[in-house]
Amino acid sequence: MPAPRKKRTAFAAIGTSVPNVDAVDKVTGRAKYGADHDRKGQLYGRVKYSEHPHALILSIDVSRAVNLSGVRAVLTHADIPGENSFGTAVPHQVVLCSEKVRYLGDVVAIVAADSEEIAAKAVESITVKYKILPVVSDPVEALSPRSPAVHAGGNLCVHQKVRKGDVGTGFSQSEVVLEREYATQKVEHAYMEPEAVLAEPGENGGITVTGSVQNLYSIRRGLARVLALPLGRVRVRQATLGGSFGGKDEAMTALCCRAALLALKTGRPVKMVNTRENSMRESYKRHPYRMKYKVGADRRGFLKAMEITIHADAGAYAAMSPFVTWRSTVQATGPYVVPNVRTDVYAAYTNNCYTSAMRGFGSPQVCFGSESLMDELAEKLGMDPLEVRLKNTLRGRSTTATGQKLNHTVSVGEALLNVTKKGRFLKTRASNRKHNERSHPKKGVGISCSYRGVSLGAEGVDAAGVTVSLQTDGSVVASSGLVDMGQGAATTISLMVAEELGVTVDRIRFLGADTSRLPDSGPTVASRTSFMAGQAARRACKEIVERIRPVASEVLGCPVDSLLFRNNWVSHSTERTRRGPGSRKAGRGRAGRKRLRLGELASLCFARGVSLFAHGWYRAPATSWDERTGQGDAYFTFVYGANLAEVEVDTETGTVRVTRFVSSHDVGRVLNLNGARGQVYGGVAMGLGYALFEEYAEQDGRPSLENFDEYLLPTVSDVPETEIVFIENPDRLGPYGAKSLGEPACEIAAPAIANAVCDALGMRVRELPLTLERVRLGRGLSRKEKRGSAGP
Amino acid sequence: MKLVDVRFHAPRGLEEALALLEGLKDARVMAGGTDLLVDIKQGLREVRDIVSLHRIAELKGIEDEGDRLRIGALVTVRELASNAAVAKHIPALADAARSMASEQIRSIATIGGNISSAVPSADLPPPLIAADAGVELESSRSARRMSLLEFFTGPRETVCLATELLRSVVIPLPPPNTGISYFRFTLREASALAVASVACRITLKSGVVDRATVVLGAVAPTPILANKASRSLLGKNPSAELFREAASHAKEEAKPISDIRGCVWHRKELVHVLTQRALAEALERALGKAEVAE
Repeated sequence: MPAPRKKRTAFAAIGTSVPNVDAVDKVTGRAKYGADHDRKGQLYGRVKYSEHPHALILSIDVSRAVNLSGVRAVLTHADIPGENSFGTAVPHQVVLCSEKVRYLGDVVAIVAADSEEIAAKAVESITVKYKILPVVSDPVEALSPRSPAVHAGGNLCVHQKVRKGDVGTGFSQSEVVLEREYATQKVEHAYMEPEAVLAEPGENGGITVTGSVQNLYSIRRGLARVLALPLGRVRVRQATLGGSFGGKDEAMTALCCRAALLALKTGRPVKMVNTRENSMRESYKRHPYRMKYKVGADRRGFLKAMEITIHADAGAYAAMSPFVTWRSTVQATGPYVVPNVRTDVYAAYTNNCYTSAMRGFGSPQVCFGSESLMDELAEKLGMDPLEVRLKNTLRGRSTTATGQKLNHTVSVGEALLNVTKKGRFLKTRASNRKHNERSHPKKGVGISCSYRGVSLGAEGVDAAGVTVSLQTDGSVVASSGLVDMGQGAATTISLMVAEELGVTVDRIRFLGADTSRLPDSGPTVASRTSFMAGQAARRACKEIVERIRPVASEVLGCPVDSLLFRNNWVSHSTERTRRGPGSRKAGRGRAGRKRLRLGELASLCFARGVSLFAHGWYRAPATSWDERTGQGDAYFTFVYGANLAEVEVDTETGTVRVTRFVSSHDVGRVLNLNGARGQVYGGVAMGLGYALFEEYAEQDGRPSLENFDEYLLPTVSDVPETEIVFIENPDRLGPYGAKSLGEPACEIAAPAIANAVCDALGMRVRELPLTLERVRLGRGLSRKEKRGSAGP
Repeated sequence: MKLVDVRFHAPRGLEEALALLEGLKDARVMAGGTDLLVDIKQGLREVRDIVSLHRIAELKGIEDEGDRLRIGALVTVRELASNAAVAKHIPALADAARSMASEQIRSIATIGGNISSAVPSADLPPPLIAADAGVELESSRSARRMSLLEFFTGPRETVCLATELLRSVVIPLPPPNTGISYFRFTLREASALAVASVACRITLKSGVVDRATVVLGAVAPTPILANKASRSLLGKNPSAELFREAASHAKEEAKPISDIRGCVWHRKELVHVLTQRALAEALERALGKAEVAE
């Protein structure tokens, strides 16, 4: 790891490197995760899963379960007081199936019992009769008019499009035209903590749920709808989250609804904790994509046109598919200037496990497509991968595929130069070529880059709130509608509060989120938390500072605008440079009080009835979108990044080892260096798993694995050391210029590795993951071959 | 997971343990528990009684008996990986131990458990078989000894009776000019089961192969000897070409199945590659020893 930089900035807290504020709680076991919450007299809930990926329900017999000793409630669809479904885009995700099951994770009945064992026995004793329907398992075939329908309205979940210029003209101006097909697999978030919730009936007829929730407000809406309760009587509290990566939204809504139904029915707290097997079976995944790219360029390598058709497997329910595919549509070309673009992304319903948000949100797939394509184009043009990219990258005042003119510093070229310089890309490439002629294992180096819209963009309402409460001893309690799920939001927001109030981070207590005391801030997604909650936190702090300044000015006898808040002290700013912050004694100069502790000031303010509490609200700048043309200012700003990977490929066995990784991202401003690095290291590891190992394989709607012994995640031994080059081009909109990092850090790791592997092999593999067979054979074995045949 | 309705026995000595096994019907023996507890959780085994061996001192420790190593059944994988006598005499066994699972599992999993579970992909049996290891079984009424190869009868099946315990593993010290090696292939670097594995032993005499053993793991119901491959090496001067030929025999002798970790075709290819690499390393070790002897 590189040594921490000593930066000279105008900031006290921003840009420093601090450990996560919740780190000690987590490593000492004090942190309370979802499953750590227990109440006296609680019951244990269990679900009865569908036994078929697609079937009509003929009858549900719960009589034997009801009669088991220790069983307190057995509920089916008939017991739901409100709507039997939820969903942000399309509210059709079923809580307890009544007529039909659409995938193996659908639930038909739920049980609450005195112990987990009794609940499990009760579930086993429930019998459901089905009429089996043909399984829809292929997203392309699903859209054929002959396909059986998963939902009444047909299998098309959504069709997103972009139309820019005229691709026909573009291709006619092209001297080189390539058509390629790429595919990505379905993957699981693999958060360390499976879903867990405790639902408690409230005194007012309402319900309180505490659990591993990522998006409190969408879950609360789901609960209110299903339980037929006003939002005000539904309280959702976030337990410490053991990872989420986009995964604890709809899957948690379903679990919360089921636990809440049981709790309201029995009048007792009900705890539900998913096993890993249940989590793998039921929780949503990242969409597998099948992508057709057609690209045209002139002989000098300048892009003329791109035509992209993508089919995404939405699985059984819409969930976030319309939004995920929209981001894919906007970013599908990659960070390049393309005068003529035609992009169509279709998401289709199938009887596979449903798909929704996962770190990247529709970008890892198209990044693999566009970045593989650029390498193939380079080869066709006889150029190197860097040259062809640099010719076409977006620049300041460039226009994106959606017709948006970029009016900020566009740094994709800078990021590419950073990684290729540090990784000595062209030299390494040349020396690898020589090495590979004679020696083994084969070596390869690959690059990738991306642009990414910050926050939700034209996808939806984009605003967030943070509350800050200064205490009379100078400590601070802060709380945000956008949550910490392990990504470090608690630390980042605390740093911004520290900066604005002039307190040290250790004086700040960041509370877990709770819908009863924070406004609906939308979901904690889209790498929007530092930006949105950061701006909201600053506003709250500024409001408090505005209120307490006059009191400080009066006490210190100096003008309001010369006050300096720093290190838990308030001082006359001209005093600071001479004395600096020091002991309490130093605060009482002979000339009278020149500075005072923030706590003293807060006490004085309190005594005068000045409010020390503020709520900051920030609404994102406007975006625009024309659905008809697929044109508009999709996002209010963008981030840029590039990756470089070096690999060694054992061509005899198919093993790929990533030996070096370089990552460069323009984050606008590094807020917490430690946290920023963590995002990159984690993102690279996650992208490496996506590139080489992970696949949630299904056949005819049935998963072929159920736990981490077979769903292979990279371990620490597989992940290379990663060198990081942060770029700081402060954004005029972001807090201190900061933009975002969580998802960019992850989305381009896989294509860099894939390009490196293909460079080593001298052969293109167009499907992820790069399994041993694909690396050795250049193709995957067919399903038939995998089942016990002697092979090719 | 809760083990309801399971009686847990923790005998303090070997005799007591064997008496318990004699008296209890269908008791499961637990050494480190890293296989057993997973099986129970997955409902693969109905268990009423668990006889845990963790208190039995007689089953612990590695002894250098002059012409052989005696390894107690409760010796952990971690001990194997770090023991000086093992490193000196059978470095391939230390290699295999180090390659297994994770530090946590290695610290509790035992050689006796790894052998007795008889999982086809187990890492310790191939190098042990290559080193001519034997096992000692004991019941309250009798004791017997056999080669490790004969111990296995099928996937998760052995000759060990319900009343017997695997007491120790005995490895004769390899003669001079002998090298043993172990190579395995996994889908990721750590915490992974072997997709295919090969252990080789070569003893040289006057520059030619005097004795050779090629053992294949994870490509048949039990670890198997690749007899044709082994024979093809005898009396020959070691060379890359010779090894390639032996590897081709080994590939033919492998009888793998297709599962989520690998298909038949890939496993056979792996045997071909791993056999060559394992033979090359065994040769290097055999030559290395010769140098020391001189």
